[in-house]
Parts: sequence; structure tokens; C-alpha cells
Amino acid sequence: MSEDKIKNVIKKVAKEKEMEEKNRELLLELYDHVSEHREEASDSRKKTLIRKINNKMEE
Amino acid sequence: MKFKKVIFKNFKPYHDEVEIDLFDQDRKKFPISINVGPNAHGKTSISEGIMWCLYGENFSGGTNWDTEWVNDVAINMGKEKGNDEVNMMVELQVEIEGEQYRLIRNGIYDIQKEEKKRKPALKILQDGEPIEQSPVGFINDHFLPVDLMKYYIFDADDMLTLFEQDRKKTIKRTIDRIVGIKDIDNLSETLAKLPQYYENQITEIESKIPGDMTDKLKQRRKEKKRKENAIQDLKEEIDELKDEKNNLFKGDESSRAKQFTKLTEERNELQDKLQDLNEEFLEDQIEGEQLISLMDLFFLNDIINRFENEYEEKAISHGEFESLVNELSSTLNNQFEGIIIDENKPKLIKKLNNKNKIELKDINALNFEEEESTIERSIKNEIRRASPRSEEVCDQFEYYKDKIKSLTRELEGVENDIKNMGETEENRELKRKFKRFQEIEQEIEEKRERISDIERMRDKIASKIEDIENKMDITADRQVEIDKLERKKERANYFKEIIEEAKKEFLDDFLTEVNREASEFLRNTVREEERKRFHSIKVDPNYNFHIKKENGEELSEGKINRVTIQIGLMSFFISMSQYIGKDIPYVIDGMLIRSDPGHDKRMIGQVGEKGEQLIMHMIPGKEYNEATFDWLSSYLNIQNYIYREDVGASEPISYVEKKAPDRVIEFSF
Repeated sequence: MSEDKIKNVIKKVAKEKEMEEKNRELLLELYDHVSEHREEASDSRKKTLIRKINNKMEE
Repeated sequence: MKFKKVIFKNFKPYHDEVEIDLFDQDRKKFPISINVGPNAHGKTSISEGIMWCLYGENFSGGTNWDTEWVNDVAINMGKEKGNDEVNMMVELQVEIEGEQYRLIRNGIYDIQKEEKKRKPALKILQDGEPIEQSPVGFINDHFLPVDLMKYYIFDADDMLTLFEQDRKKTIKRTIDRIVGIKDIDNLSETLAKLPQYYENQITEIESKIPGDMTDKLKQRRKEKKRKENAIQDLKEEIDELKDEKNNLFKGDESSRAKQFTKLTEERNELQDKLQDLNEEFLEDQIEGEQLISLMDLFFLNDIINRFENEYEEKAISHGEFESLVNELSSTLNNQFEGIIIDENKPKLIKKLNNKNKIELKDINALNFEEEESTIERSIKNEIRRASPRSEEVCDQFEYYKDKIKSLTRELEGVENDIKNMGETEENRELKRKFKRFQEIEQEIEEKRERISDIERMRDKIASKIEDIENKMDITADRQVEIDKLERKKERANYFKEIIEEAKKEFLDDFLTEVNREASEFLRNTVREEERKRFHSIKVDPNYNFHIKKENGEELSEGKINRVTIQIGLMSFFISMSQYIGKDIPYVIDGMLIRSDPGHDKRMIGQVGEKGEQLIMHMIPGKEYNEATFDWLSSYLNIQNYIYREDVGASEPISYVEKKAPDRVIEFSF
């Protein structure tokens, strides 16, 4: 599936930019999270997404 | 993946059970199956049936399955037989990586209510047993979300119209949805919103932080120190005055001096006794307060007992008794105020107003001069009324009242004696000493009062210092929170930057690959002599669509005819769905490029060469004829003939006949 291809590109770019591994993993996790919910991109969903991403951004 | 068979039961024009073979394993090298039949005979229903089987109510095809898709004949026959329901079923048999599955979706239609009985359910069997995975999970794993399946199961005409109507928008939407760019955009948009989200939180926290309090704290501490110094000074002054007082009669052995000293000692003792009495009273007061707060309970208990006794003899109904007891209990729960028995009936006491509230104070604040003053009487009355223990409290009042009266009288007598001695003394030196003694005592008293005042001020300052210190602690915590939010903000920006770059890179990679595939597809679809002119396809990162010549020059729109555009778009579309790499059969209603069978031949041939399963619905005489069959036969796996028959009172029903794939189906019309 193209999700894997997208993730590979994200990984590659993040590596080139010398992004730390834990941040790289988090970024891929965020992408997974978004692609899982692609069917439900309503406004309230988007707000939930912001909240969820915010929680994941906690160090 | 192969769609091997679809079975319909009471689905649209298919009455009872109708099996349609879609793939013959013995001819597995031939990837294309066709369903041939005139318009409105049930071809499109095959595509819809497959979608309904996979997605149930998530795929509606723009309609309500229960009111529009249940076979009419089945409903009418059910009515005639007096049945309650009709079972509508679609079973899709698929092969995935060599494993065989049966996907069965059932919908129950209520004949009486003319609507569904419940949501159509899907079960998936392997070797006759339900699979362990949930059906939804299975569909998610092996297929695409319902709106993306339209790129595999579609009407060729509709698809082309979609691309032709608003080309750039459709290309963008298709790429974004099918390839997942939309997910990157969603993530990027969300990340872009986060810094503002954090900024708002920071502003909110900052608004709650008081300004710099260090100076204020220093100032308060200085003030406190000054007060403490003043207290210390006053205490030293008192000590000096005490020394002076003690030395006043030193060496004076006169009887008057001795008498004066004795009187002052007696007065001091009385004052101490009064002080002790006051302390004792304050201790009792604490008990008294507790007693009063508990009185409600004691009282309620007492009332209930008395109430029971009253009514034991009067024989009231059980219901009456219970409602009264309940009333008492609920009053207790709702901050009970008091109850009295008046003429043998319980009455709830309304909340006492503040004037009558029982409030025990410092004994000195009580005015015992007015005998049985109004307030005292009301206190005693309330206490007596409130509890069986009230007598104890009243006795306490009496005890302190008597004691304070006698002690105060005694003290007044001694003080008068001391005053008289000072006034009547004839010896001038002694008179001066008596006077001085009383002045010193007054000065000490004044200084003590001054100390109390300053101590109160000092305590106020100390509590302010404590407040500031607490606030400063909170400020430090808030600063930590702000720093954390700042870090999150930076992180969100950084993530967004990477995601944007990744999107650009991915789109470039994707377009390069799909453009290359699509160009090859285009070249193999157009006539050989056209290949130099229609050499390549390019969709640029702004989603503009270009067709280029062999020398790289772009063909202007005016020079490209509609068919070429259609071929180009379809080439791009098929290359893109292949890019996804999801092995799902195409189910296409109609031919791809209607105006020229030669193009279809070459385009479908390319799909056929790749060995992917392609199921097509065709209209005899129009799309399906000897010429089509000629080139199609080298890929043909199965050909089905679909027809309808009038069954009399109801709608016609559809039948399917499997025809040999080696010769063209002959039609009588």
C-alpha cells in the first residue's frame, strides 16, 4: 500500500534532517494515527485529533 | 485476489438463488471475465451486489437497500404465503493468496413493515467455519475503504465523465485520496494548528502569573522585622517598669506599705482566678458548641421516642406514623433545624433567625447585670427546647454566672481599697509611691495592649508573606508548564516542516513512477503511427495534466482530441491504481473507451497481459460483437449471458447462463 511508501519517505526525510529517533518514531505514529482515521475527518474529529496529537507530544 | 463466484438471493432482479461464476480455475491464464446482457437486465446489479456484500450499509449506491433492492417477486410471494420476512443475501467467493473465503451478507426485510428488520450482517467462512478475525477487520485488511473501491469497481462512462468534467480537481482528489496525500495534508494541517493551540495555553497561563514579587516580599519581611523589634522594645520597657515597681517599697517596713502590697497581691490573685474561670468557660464553650451541634441528633431521637409514646396510645394508622417518621428523617437530612411537640403534634421548627441563634461567647461579653436579659432567656429557651441535655448547658450558664458575679464583686472591693489607700495616705513619700505604683501598672497595661496590637499587625504581615511565598512557588510551576509548551510548539513546527518536505518528495516520486507507467500505457494504447505524437503523460505537482510528443514538446489542448484525452486519463488512472499495489480485481461496467474498439483492445489487452482479474459488463451488439470477441477471446476466462424473463404478475427476474468462452454468444435480436 502507498501508506508504507509514504512512511518510508517520511523516515528518509527525517533521517536526512537528522531528526532524533524518538521524534522519528513519534512522527510515524502520528501519521499512522491520521491514516487510520481517514474516514472520519469531521470537525469534531479534527479537534480530537489535535487533542490526541497534543497528548502524544508530551515528553 | 480473485473474485471466483457471486451468489445472489432475492437481490434486485435475481430471485431466489442465482450463481454467477466469475473465474474458472481451469482457465487461470485467462484473466478477463465478461457478463453480457442488454440494458436493465442485471449487469450493474452484479457490481452493486459485490459492493453491498463487502460494505453493507456503508455502500448504498444512492439508495436504501431494504426498500429498493429486495427482489419484488420474493416480497410478493412471501406475502401470498403469509411469510413475515424475506432474506436478501449476497455471497462473494474470493481467493486471497491461495486461500478460499466465502463472504456472506444477509439482510432481513420485514414484509409487514416494509423495511429492514436489522442492519445487514456479514459473516466470512473458510472451509465452512467462520474465520477468527472480525469480518470488518478482514475487509479492512484486504480491501480499500468504501469510497476508494470506486477506483476498482466502477462504470467506465461515469469515471471518464468525472475526469473530463473538472480534470484538475478530479486528478487531485483521486491522487490525494487513493495515494494517501490527504492523510499527509491532514497531519500537516493539524500540526500547523498546534503552535497556536499551545500559544493560547501559554497566554492563558501567563495571564494568571502576578508580576515580580521579589521586591514586595523583601519589603514585607522588613516590615515584619520592624514589628518584632518594636515588640521586643516594649517588652524591655515593661521589664524596666516591673523592676521599678518591685523596688518601690524595698526597705519600707511600714504597715501601710505592707498593707498596700498585700492588697495588690490579693487583687492579682483575684484577677488570676477570673482569668482561670474565663479559660475554664472557654473550654466548656467548646464542649457547649459541640453539644449544640449534636443537639439536633439527640433532640430528634428524643422527639421520635416521645412521638412514638404519644401515638402508641392513640392508635394512628401505620401509614400516618410512617409518613411522620419519614418527615422527621428527611428534615434531619435537609439540615435539621428543630422540632417541637405542640398539642401532641410534631411541628418542625423553622430556621432560627440570627438574633436567636445560640452563640456562646467569652464570658466577659455576656451581660449578667440585666437579670434574665432577653437574649439570655431566648438562649436558654432554645437550648431547653432543643435537647434533653439542654439542662446541663443551662446549669453551666448558671454556674459561671454566679461565680463571675461573686469574683467580680470581690475584685471591685479590693480595687476600691487600693484606690482609697492612695487617696487617703498622709505620708507624702508613701502617697507618691502608691500613685507611682498605680501609674506603672497602667503603663504596663498600656504597653501590653500596644504589644497585642503590634502582634496582630505582625501576624497579618506574616500571613501576607506566606501568600507571596506560595504564589512564587506557583509561578515557578507555571514557568515550568510554559517551558514545556514552548518545547511542544517548536516540536510541532519541526514535525510540520519534515512532513511538508516528505509530502513534496513523495509526490515527486509517485508522479515520476506513475507518469512513466502511464506514458507506456498510453503509447501501447494509441495506434502505432500516433506514438510519436502521443508519447508521454505528465501530471505535474500542481495536478495539471499534460500530453507530450516524443521530442518533449507539449501538445496544446486544441490539438488533442477527446479520445486521446480519455486514453491519457484512463492510462494515468489505471497506472495509479496499480501503484497502490492492492491486488483487487477490477469490475468495470462498460468498455473503457467507447468511441474506438481498437483502443479498448489495446488498453484492456495491457491489463490482461499483466494477468490481473478484470470483470466487465458488456451490452450485446454494442460493446460485445464478433469483432470484440475476436481480440477478447485470447484473454477470456468466463463469459456469462444475462437475461430477464417475465414471470407474470411481478417484475421480470434475471437469469444467468454460463456460455463456452471459445465462441461468441449468439443473440436472437
